Amino acid sequence: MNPSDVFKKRNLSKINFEYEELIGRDFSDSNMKGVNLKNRDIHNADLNCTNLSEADLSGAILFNVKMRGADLQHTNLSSAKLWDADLYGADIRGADIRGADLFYADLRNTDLSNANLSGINLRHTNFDGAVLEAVNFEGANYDSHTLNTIAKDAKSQLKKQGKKW
Amino acid sequence: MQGRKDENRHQELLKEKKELEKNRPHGIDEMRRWKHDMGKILQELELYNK
Repeated sequence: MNPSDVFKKRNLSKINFEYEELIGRDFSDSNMKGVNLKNRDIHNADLNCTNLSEADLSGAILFNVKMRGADLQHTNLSSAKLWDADLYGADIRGADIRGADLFYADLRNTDLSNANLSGINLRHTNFDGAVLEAVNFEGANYDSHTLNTIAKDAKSQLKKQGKKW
Repeated sequence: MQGRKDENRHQELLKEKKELEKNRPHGIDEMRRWKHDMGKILQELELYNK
């Protein structure tokens, strides 16, 4: 096994990551439910199909991370830096994403029902095919590119609650 | 004349955006610079969407 793959397809929900270097690591297909990665730098990591439900990723540096099909239900992503992150098809229902930066992030076909997106940066974010039921966009920053990827009902919600650049 | 100049600038910006998209960095400092440069391009491009 490649040493960089030690976290791949593992049950890591009880692991203490405090002394682990996490940048660029491969956590794909692992169970990381409820882990504490608050304020950690995890950029370039592979979190495809990883269970991160109920995890604390608040303030984490997550640019360029791959989170395709990840389980992010009720995950705390508040103030996380998700620049250019790939969240295609992720389940983000009920997540706390307040004040996060989703600059250039790919959220196509995600389910964000009941997620809190207040104060979020949505510049050049792609929501094509995303489910945005009961989403809170209060104070979210957005541009016309982002707006054009959002379905009709959510679009009017974003226009009403958010701030256009 | 002004219209052509604007269109030239618009095309220039789209080209710069494409270039940056092709050259995504992996380090944190380079990524901050990338975000800053891309942000400036997007801000100017936004003017063409009004």
